Amino acid sequence: MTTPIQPDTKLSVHIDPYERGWMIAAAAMLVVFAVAVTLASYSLGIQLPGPEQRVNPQTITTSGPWANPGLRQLSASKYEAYIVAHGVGWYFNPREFSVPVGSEVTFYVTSADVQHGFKLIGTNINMMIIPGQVSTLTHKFDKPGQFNWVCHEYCGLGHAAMYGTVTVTQ
Amino acid sequence: MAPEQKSNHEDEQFHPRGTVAVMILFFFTTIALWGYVYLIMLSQGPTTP
Repeated sequence: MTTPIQPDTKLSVHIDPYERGWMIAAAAMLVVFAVAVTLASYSLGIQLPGPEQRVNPQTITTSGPWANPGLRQLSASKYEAYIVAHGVGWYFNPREFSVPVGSEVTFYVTSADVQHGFKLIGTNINMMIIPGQVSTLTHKFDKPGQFNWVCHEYCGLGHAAMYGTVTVTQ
Repeated sequence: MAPEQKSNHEDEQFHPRGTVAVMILFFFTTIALWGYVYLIMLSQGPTTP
């Protein structure tokens, strides 16, 4: 039988000084990381990709902008890239395009069948491509070179063959 | 020696220098690696919807 705690008994939890020190250090690290991410997000206008619009994956290849995917020039340095990810045959359409350096490209990517990914290496473009949803992000290409994109969501046997290239010319 | 006195004596002798050194190394390594990736992400430029 346990002894009941008396009302005037002072309860305390003993924390070792070393343990307390490490808890404080770990909490401080989390605070610093959270503040750094928040400041960068607000000062640079960074936002997470969100669903731009809904589409019918069964009709995107026959109607709408993805029926004729590719690059559209909006102005001297602004472009839109409409890209379809295909899980049957495992390819992106289009697979490559070129823009001059200094161009701002908005990617509109969707899937014709299953879930895919879109990671443009060397940039922060990193989206999940879901059938029925349009994923969009904008990036300004300030340096010339080749920027490869890959599907980084496993989508079947030919997943490794799903890639493409943006060539940024002088 | 009474058990209580023995326990206090052990607390006074508890100086885990090796563990503290490893934890300090872990602390600064975590900050350095996190900061390295953070700067890479910033250098790649912002993305906006």
